[in-house]
Amino acid sequence: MADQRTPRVNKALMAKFRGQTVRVVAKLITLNDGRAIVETSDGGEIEVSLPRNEDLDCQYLEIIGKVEDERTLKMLGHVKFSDNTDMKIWDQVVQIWHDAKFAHMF
Amino acid sequence: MAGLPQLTAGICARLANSENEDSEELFNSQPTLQLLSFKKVPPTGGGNNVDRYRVIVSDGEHFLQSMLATQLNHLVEEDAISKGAVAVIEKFTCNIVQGKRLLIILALRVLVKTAEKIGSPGSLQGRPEGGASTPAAVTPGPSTSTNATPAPPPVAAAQPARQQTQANRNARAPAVYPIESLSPYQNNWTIKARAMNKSDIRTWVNQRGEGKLFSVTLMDESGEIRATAFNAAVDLFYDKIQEGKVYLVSKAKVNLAKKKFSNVNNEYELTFERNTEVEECLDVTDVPTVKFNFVQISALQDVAKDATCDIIGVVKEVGELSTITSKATSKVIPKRELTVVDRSGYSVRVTLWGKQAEQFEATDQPVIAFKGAKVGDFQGRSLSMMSSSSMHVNPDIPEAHALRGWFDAAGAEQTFQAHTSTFTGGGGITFDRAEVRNLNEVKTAEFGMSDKPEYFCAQATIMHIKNDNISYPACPTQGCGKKVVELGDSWRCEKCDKSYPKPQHRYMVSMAVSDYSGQAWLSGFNDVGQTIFGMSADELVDIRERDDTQYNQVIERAIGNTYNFACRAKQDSYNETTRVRYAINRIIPLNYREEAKYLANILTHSDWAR
Repeated sequence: MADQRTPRVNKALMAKFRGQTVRVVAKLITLNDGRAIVETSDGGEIEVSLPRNEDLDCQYLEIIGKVEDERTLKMLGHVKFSDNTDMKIWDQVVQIWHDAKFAHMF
Repeated sequence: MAGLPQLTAGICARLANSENEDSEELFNSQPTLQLLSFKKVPPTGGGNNVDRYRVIVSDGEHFLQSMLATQLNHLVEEDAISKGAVAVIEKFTCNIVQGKRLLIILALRVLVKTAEKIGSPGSLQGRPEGGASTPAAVTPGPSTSTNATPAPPPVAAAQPARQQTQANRNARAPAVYPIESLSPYQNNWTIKARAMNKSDIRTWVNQRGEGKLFSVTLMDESGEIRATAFNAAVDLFYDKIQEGKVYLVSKAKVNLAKKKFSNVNNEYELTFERNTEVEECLDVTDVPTVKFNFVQISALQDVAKDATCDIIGVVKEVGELSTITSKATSKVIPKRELTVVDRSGYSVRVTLWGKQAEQFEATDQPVIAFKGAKVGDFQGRSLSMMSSSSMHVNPDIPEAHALRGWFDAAGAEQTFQAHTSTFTGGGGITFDRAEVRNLNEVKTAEFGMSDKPEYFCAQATIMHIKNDNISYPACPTQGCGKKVVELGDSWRCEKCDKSYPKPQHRYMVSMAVSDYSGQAWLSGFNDVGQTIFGMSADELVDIRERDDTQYNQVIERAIGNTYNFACRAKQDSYNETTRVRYAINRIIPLNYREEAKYLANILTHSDWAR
């Protein structure tokens, strides 16, 4: 588990990581019946399937999950983020993460 | 006097008035004039390096200034003519020089080499020029001189504008100079100015003995200047000069201003001496009353500390008269604080001292205009009256009326924002990213090793807080944080000269902080403690006494947090060692959004990233 690399992605990058476990910071839009629609840091919408009907009680969160297809994520775990989260900055983080210059760090 | 030739009487008057005459005929007449006196004038420069002679010529009724053409210089030098000589002026011309009529003698024929003064010539336009003053004989019939020759209007061009006070003077009428033009290089001046801010007589004692002085600010439409009288001069002038009245002052010494003692806007200042002349002037039409340049109280933040400013506002609160013992002179000085507000929505404290504090009458919230108040950064921004400041209660100016109207209608109920900040350093200290250093750099670059304190900023995490001494008992008076000493049942503050049953604890924290480069010990005061512990020093001291475990928890909670610090590095001598100490001026919790943006910026856009 510890060696598992979970790259940070937004909607645009999700397609590249099909079948892999990734992290997505997103804003909760709707939640019903074990499935949630969230908005990613670049403004795209994806669908998240929640394990065991878990309830999400925060507006911003980081979802750790497996990419099923380019717009669906199967959630494995999540981290609550503050309501003050600035999505623009998050997107920058994601961009930098994937930037070739810093590849050696990640 | 037998044998003396007849002078061409009236010629001087005609010459002075020659605009109304047929000049040619006048200039071709060859008047006989007496040359009353000569004065050598150094060359004027511009290629002319020959001496010139200024001559006073008289026609027995009046005298005029004139210059001898250089070709005639030899006459003086060879002693062909001397004081009182009578000559026929064969050729001459008339110039307007510096606004005055000047005769130029081009050729003359000496009749008598020297003689006694003929008649009693009076001045027409008796204007003693700086450096060339000649004694003017008193005109027995002033009406002739004043009516026959109206003074030509001054051609002001490059010269300071000169006015002439013709009024009730028999002696030479002085030319009034503007205060702007005063300088040590010229001492034959007179100024007409209003006396403002007459100070009390102050005495001092130093190694050389004792002395007394008083000073006053003199103001005219060109500017203002400070004048001081010392010792004997105090007795001569103190009662003579009354605030608000206009005086003609001359023969005072012009020195370079000692800026330390005055904030009056002039490079020079005056010293009254025994021979200084001060005369009350009744013609006060052209001397203005106080000029103000008001600043809104909200804008005081932008005024530098120790600068002066003018403000106008309504006195919302009047403090009690209190005293302060001066550390320097051990004298007890009365002081009083006023809270002044204006339409900017801000309030400011103005401190009055001495007599002004004692004599202040707390009438019902008057409008007061303060001129030349010194700006301090005590608790943000505060104002203090200096000896050269002045205070005008309910002045009759439009701003005052506007304030009165606003305050009576709405202002009284308004809550005002004070410039107070909890930071000990109020205005100018911010966390400036440009000043950020890593801690290792601070140490290796030897910040604070020189005599002057140096400032830097750092972002660091608290690693350890010295547990033994985190606070001290302090004076509860607002603004005073001095340590109080326990005397039996009460605690005494030396500075305020008061005792209290309980002190107010204030933080004095010493902590080790680290960043990626290294570690340093920083010390902080009350605001720092408040920020890192999240409670007041009184509360924490209380917890320490009650519950040890809880106390440790509070301390531990403070560790591990990262802050932005604005610090001051300064050298301190303790016993025998000299060490650099880092004091926290400002502690700012991190705004993650800002910090993230900043870092993202560096990663993507900065030079480092390339």
